Amino acid sequence: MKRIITWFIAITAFFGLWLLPVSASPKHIVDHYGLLEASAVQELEDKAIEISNRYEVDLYIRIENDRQGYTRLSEFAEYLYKSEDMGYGPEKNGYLLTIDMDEREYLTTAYGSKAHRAFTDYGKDQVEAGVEYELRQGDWYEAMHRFLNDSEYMLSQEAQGTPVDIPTISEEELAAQKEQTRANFRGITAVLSPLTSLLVCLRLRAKNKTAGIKTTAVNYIPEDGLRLAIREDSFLYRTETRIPINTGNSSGSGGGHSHGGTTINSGGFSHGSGGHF
Amino acid sequence: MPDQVTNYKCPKCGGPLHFDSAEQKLKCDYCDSVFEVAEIEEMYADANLAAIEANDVYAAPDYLEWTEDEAQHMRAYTCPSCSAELICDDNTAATRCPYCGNPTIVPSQFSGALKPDYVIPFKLDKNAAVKKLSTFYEGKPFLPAAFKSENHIQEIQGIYVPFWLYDGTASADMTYHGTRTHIARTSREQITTTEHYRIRRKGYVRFKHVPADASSKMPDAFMDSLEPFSYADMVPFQISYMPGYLADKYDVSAEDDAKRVDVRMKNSAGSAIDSTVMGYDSIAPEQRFVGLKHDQIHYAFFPIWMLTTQWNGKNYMFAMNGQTGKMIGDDLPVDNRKFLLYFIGISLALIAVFWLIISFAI
Repeated sequence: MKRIITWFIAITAFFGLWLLPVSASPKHIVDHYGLLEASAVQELEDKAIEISNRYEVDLYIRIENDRQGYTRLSEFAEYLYKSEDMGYGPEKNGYLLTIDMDEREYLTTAYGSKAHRAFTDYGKDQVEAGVEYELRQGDWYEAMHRFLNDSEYMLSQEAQGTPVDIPTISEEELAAQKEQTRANFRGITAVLSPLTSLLVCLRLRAKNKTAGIKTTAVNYIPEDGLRLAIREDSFLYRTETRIPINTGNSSGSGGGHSHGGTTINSGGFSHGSGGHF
Repeated sequence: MPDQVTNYKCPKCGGPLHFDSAEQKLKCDYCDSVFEVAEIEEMYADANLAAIEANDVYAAPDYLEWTEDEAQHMRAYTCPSCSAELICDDNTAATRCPYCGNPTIVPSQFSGALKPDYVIPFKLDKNAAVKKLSTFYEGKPFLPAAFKSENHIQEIQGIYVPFWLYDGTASADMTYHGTRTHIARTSREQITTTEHYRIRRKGYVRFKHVPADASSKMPDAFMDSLEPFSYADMVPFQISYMPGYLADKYDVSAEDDAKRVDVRMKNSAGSAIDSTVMGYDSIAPEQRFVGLKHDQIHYAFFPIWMLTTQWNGKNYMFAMNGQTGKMIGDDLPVDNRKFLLYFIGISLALIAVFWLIISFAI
């Protein structure tokens, strides 16, 4: 009987290893809001896996409608990254697009040295500019697709040793540019100054002419000289225009950062400028 | 035959009287005695009446060989003081005998239908006008330097200019389209709400004593520019304010002058109604109607100092409001060399300033 129990435990343990959940890698595309069709999610997932494996940096998209108490989207993104154990390899390289549909806000977040090299502050702004444009159009699938495509381009550039960053110019080029700008402004003022001077001189010259025909008689209206018999202000209709706010952090033109490189916080994350759509 | 004109003479010494702007009384040129206007008016009432009657039978003397046109527009009077012949045009109401210098009044020009309702007496004298002219040149950088020093006064005359004063009521009916805009911001968007209104104003604007000069000799632009006159000093007309000054009766009819005044009243009535539309961010007029009705027209004399100067063979005319001291003048000459120097100087200064800013800012 003792042998039977021993065998039972051994067999159970053997098959149990197969049945117990292993520590599975997180999904690349998760749509908690239900924006995308299941087939679209799968298509994006396959593409994300393919890119991640090729460049060894995982790409993630999380479409959420609950920040779980986090006020800032950046904090929520970092929480998601850590709690889901995202990232490729021991350095956990990854790039995450987080979309909060409730607040209509989005943000990209990078982690790991390779991801930081590939997704510079400028590079993240470039990716976000494309995503934001599609989100504002309401083209959700295209926004996700563009995120993956643009991220792939950033990774390919990094792989070639030329990550996308703010173009740098030499001191001489900078000086030449400044001189050109000065020359342009000087040219403009060389034209504007005589014109202004002419206006001033004509105004001074007009002082030599003092007589003119009067066309009003306002001085001759007595204090009680104005009486209104009808005074009607009737409301007709109301019009309304809504303009999405381009916050200072928005990366519409990719100009959220003025210096090259990647800004990494104490938690090891770097964030794009993000924004609303 | 009684005199057709009157010389106002001092009751004490017989010297000529003139209205003194400082005293606001009649003053003797010789003994400096002063007399109230009403006192002299009463004293000369009979003489003026006789002169008016004498003018009713006026006929040009036989020895003056005037053409028919001249006879229609010229008058010859005999100076009561020196018996010299005074040749005037048919509008002259107050003048000075060119021979004896006595102020001479033609009372018939102020009687009957020609009797003015009001007069604003002179408050500023000839010296004030001369002084004002010297300061008038200040603040005009393009005036030739020689103009100030070489432009001598040729003639200076105190003139009572005839004016029509129009009372009227403008009725206006206007509609406008107005908008009020509110801007609200959420975390996602800026919401601009615009409320549209139809606005109607119908009402009346009264005008009192809008002036228009009634003398064809006086440039309209000059007289308009000398406004405003203070009607607080305006008094019922009396001939005794005239001695010492020139005056012509009106030769532009009230109907003709009304056209200019109507434009002024309509413009100001529209503006007055416009000013009652408030509280909107934008206002666009849609319909405008302004009608006008004249109530009363008064005839008045206002005090003007006319100064004539000459420079480089050209005459320049200036006029000063004899009540307020406001002065205006003909278009003054421009020193083109100064104009050019100013133009170049200001241009270079601006360029220098801009270039400095550019050098430091960029």
